[in-house]
Amino acid sequence: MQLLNLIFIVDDDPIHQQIANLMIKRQGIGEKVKAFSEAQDALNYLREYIYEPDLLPDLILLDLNMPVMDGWDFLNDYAGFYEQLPKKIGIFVLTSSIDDSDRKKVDDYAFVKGYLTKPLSSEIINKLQAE
Amino acid sequence: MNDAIINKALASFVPALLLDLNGNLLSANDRARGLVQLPGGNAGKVHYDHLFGERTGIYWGALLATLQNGLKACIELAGRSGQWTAWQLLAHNEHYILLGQESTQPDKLFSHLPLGIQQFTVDGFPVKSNALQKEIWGPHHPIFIQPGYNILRDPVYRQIGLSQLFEEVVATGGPVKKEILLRYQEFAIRDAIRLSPCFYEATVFPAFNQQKQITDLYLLLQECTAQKLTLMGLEKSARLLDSVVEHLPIGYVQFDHHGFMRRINHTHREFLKVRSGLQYESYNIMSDPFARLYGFNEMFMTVVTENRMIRREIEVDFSAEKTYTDLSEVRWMDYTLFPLRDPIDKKTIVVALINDITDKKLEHYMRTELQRNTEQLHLFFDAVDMGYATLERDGRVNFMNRKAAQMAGVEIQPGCNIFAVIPEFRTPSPFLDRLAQAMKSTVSESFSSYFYRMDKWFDFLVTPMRDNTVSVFIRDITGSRKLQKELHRANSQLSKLNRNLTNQNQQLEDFAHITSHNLRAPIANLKALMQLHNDSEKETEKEEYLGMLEAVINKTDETLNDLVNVVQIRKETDIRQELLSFESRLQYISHVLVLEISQSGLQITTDLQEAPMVRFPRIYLDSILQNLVTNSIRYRMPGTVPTLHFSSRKEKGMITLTAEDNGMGIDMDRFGSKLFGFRKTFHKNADAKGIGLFITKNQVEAMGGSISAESAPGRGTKFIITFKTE
Repeated sequence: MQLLNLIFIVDDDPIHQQIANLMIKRQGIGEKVKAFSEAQDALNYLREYIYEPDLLPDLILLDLNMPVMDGWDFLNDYAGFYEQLPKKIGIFVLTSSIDDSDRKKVDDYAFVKGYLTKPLSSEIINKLQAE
Repeated sequence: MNDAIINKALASFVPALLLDLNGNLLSANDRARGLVQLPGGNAGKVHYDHLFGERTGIYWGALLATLQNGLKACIELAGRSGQWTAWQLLAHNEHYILLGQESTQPDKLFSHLPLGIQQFTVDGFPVKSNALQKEIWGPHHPIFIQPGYNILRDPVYRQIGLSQLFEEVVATGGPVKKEILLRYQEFAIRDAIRLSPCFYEATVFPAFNQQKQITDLYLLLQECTAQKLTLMGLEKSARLLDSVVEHLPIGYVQFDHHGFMRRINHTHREFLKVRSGLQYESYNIMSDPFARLYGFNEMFMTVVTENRMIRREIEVDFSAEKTYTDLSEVRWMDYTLFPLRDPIDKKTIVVALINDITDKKLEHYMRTELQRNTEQLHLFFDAVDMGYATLERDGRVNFMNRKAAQMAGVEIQPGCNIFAVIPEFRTPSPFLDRLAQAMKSTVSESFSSYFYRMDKWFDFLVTPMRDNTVSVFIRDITGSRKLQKELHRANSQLSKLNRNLTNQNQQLEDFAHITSHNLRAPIANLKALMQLHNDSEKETEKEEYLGMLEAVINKTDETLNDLVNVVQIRKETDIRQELLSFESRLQYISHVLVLEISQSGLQITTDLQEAPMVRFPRIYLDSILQNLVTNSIRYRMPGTVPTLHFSSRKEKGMITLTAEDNGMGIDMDRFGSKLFGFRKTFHKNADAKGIGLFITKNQVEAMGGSISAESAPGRGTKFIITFKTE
């Protein structure tokens, strides 16, 4: 099992950020975890380090329901430049929504690897590891 | 011999006059002087023409010519005492002698006869005539003035047959009579000269001597123009009458008093198609089987015995009669038989006038049938539960059934005009325009109208008919109208309910969405923290997790409270509304938020005169105004004095409140759809919870209003709230 170098958590809920951080650390799937309350900040980061693969995350856990810029805005923006990225980033939508329409809509984004529903549990972490 | 006579005469036994070769009187004996009026007794300067010519019209030349032609030259002259004397001219030794002979009694008669009479010699030379005859011929007729005139040689009288009368008398020795058109008389009518014929009865008879030899011929002329013309007129009238009877437009049959047919006119012969050559004179109405079949014999007898007219209309089957007619059809005939008295034998004759009335009967039958049909139709229309009327285009009533009359509620007689008698049809109205238009239309038109007087709705169908009248069908649709109205109301209520349900459903869906996003998230956190807590073995970690749990629970509680607030708004659609002044509520809010307003320096301006008041729940309006003021402070542009301008308008029965600030504005392309969502924030503002506009929207919509926004980043935001008015 290869340890992931960097994992992004994009979620406006600080409690969830903390929980995710703890879960990831405890399961030991990643070395570093970086949390963003604003989706825009995460996009800015990706654009800033677009030519530095080491600084880019291996995995992004993206919430959908966020103020100012939500998960869909993030995906739409990301779709415009992800092919220029020097490495493949696994994006998982991690949301409290159990809405089918959201689940289907995610399928439109080929680069999204999966749709996960909160809470983030050890089972989900294991699944992520498997992916 | 002449000498002896003359000598004798001159010796005064016979009246005698001696003339020279030119007709001048040389001498006269006493007898002659007594008969001829000589001027002053001197005969030396007197001419024959003076003595005789001027008095008789036979002048010297004419008399001399007669003598020279070897004829007897005679003239007659009335004497002083009325005595007529006949004078004969004789030639004597370079002289002429006129010898007189006093006329006898017949000559007197001759002159006084009331007829025109004229004496001719046997060979046609005129001898003498009486005055009346001269008048008939005219004084200038050649018979008097043309020397040697002979009536047998006159071409005109030969042509009309007068000359031949003389010849016939000579040949037969007896008198002959004939009506002749002797001449034409001219008379003037206005500017035109007309000729009228003058008819005379000419009688020529002979005079004999003792040897029974014809010595003279006499012509009597008596005018008979009037009689002749009357007779001609009568003949003409008779011919005309005959022709009229023959070609009468109806059949004419005449029977004698025994019943034998004496006449059948052309019209009836044609009608019966009588075979040519048939001897109908042998037909007797009393014995003919066909006549007896239809009782014509009895009719005839009644006319003869009772001497009165009979008229019958009989349907006759002519196929039963084979002898006289080829007409083998059934016809309706009109027979009129009446008696006439024969002017000659005074017996009764019977005339039958016969008219074929089959067409008339048929027409009558058709008319009766039509009338019966019409009556049946009217009965039918009276029975139907629908108003029906036939009208002339101008509105005159031909027929109106009972129901229609009931509907109109006024008495309507055929012939009266609906536009005059029905009150609603007299006053101008859209209905009346529509009706008048439909009455002129060439296609069926349907429309309905409410009548206040009867409190009823009527539906009209106006249909043009072929005879240029219109049929109007009227239905009372009050019941169905009410039902329709009820249905409409129920439908609109249903629609409203449906809208509300849809709305509520949408709200439920929204709510489910909100719940899933805003309640599931903290619960998921709780679950995760519980798992971390349970998996942890360190007390310090466990405590940390419990602390986090508390924070999550608090957050959840807050969210739940917000949601409960919203649910409350949604539930309270019946919340008390009151008439509120925008201005006064704004003052109240400014008072509540006095600290925030003074710290931010917000300048509030208003323009609320057009719609100063609104009926709305007070706490909602306060909440809305507070939200708008708070937002304008919270999202003000850094470095700029914040402003907020309120204005109200009345538009299309609604009241519109506009709140326009000069704040940061929102990217409507990106966030427009989420602007009024639950827990949606669009600025990195620590105070923003994303609940204010959500609540505002719910409060506005709960009261039937709406809210929208116009904005752009850096250009401020304009909220437009529409309040429903009653």
